[in-house]
Amino acid sequence: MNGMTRAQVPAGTVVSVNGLAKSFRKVTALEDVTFSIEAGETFGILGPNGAGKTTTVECVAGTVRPDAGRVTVLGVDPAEDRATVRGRVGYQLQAAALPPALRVEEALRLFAAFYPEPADVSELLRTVGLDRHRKRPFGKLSGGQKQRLSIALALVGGPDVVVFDELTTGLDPQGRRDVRQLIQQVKEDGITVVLVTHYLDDVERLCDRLAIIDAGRTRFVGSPADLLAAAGTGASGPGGLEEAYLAFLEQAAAE
Amino acid sequence: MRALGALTRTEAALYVRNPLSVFMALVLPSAILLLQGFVIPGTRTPLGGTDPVYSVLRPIDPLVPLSIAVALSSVAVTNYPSAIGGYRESGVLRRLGVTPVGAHRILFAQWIVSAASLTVAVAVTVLLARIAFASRMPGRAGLVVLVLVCGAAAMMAVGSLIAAVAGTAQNAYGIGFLVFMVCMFTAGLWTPGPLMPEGVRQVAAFTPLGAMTQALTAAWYGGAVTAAPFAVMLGWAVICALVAARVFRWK
Repeated sequence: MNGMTRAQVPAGTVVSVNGLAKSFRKVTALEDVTFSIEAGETFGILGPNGAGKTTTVECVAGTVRPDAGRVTVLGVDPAEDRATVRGRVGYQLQAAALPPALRVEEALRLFAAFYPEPADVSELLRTVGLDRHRKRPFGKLSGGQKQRLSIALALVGGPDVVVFDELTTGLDPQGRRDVRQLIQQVKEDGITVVLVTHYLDDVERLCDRLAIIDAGRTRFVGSPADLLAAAGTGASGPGGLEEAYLAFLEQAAAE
Repeated sequence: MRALGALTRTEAALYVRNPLSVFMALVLPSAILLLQGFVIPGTRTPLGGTDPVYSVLRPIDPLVPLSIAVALSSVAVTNYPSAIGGYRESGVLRRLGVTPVGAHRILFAQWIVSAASLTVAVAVTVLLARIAFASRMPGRAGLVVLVLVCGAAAMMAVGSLIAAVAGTAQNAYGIGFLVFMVCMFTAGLWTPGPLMPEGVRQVAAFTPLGAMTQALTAAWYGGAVTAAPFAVMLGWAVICALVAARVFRWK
């Protein structure tokens, strides 16, 4: 992706989350979440609904301040040094829409104006396959097109890290395939990808490592192969990882 | 500055694409003026009476500042809060919050667009009054502008309070429209200018739009303008803005 050449790619640990806890009024969202993400890695965050995945991502984004624990993104605390984190981390948020009348290219040019060295908008539109729909209003896009636009918006600032929160949820198989191909391209470009998802086949195809969060705690951190081994289900063919994931959650619930 | 410029251009484009915004700000005030002038009988004959300032006016004349008050309320308490409520509802504020510019800049962009649409609304109303009814132009233009700026600050602060708490565009529009109707009463849409009973006028003088309309009418047609309405408008502006800033929810 030529539109997104970056001056320097960070090395080492880019995201580190340690002993994270957060409550909203009386509801405990996070109790103890710990993982770290290395530069260039594609890292999956999985877990049942309400497990605390989005709150974890919000702590990484610096929009939610944890009650306890420590978050470091690109060497800084995102709740303290918001400017650094927001300039170098691109986000796609769960259920964040754009004004329905805003057109594809307008949205991308608007977001490009927020960053000091934005990617080339026309190039990015071609990359995400929306160059033929540049004049189309956001409200008239299909689910897959909306998600491809949100990927473009996450990439337009030329980030070192991108966070995708439930990018493929609710898409048809073709939409999911297109989005997966795009993430593959992002990954090949050396950008660190954090992928919050419900789909084990997304993880299987894209992620180097993953964390499983359940009831506000990290239950597992490792590679998909590690998960297969840890679950002890023995299945490694199609659907094997999903079986391993479910078995792992059941074990965790039983303990 | 580049980000604010881009946001303002985008907000302006979205504003023009929203027929309801354009209707409320530009069509409704002019329509009220034309309707009163041409459909309701007797609005173009002088009021008469003993008041040296108001006796020479026709009922249509105080409707000119009143139409401006309608435009101001439309922009400040319906269009602006429903735009922000919609941005909160759909997650636009959350999304902007994780960019380097932050979500607060979209508020600045909204204020700029609101000020621009208000300026256009005032120009259209004044032009229409001049052409259709040969209305007098403001006697003291500087004072008129000062009243308008204070009134706009007060009403935008009231609108900000609605924008701060309304969870959805629909809610914001509902609350805004209710406030709009109350403002229309205090401004004297149903009892223009000197037709408003004295007791009502005294109460209305403490409301932001009532104070503005009374001061605007006086400044426009040569009546006495005191400091009181300015104090009322600035009071509303400061108090509502402070409360709005405290209770504003970004998501």
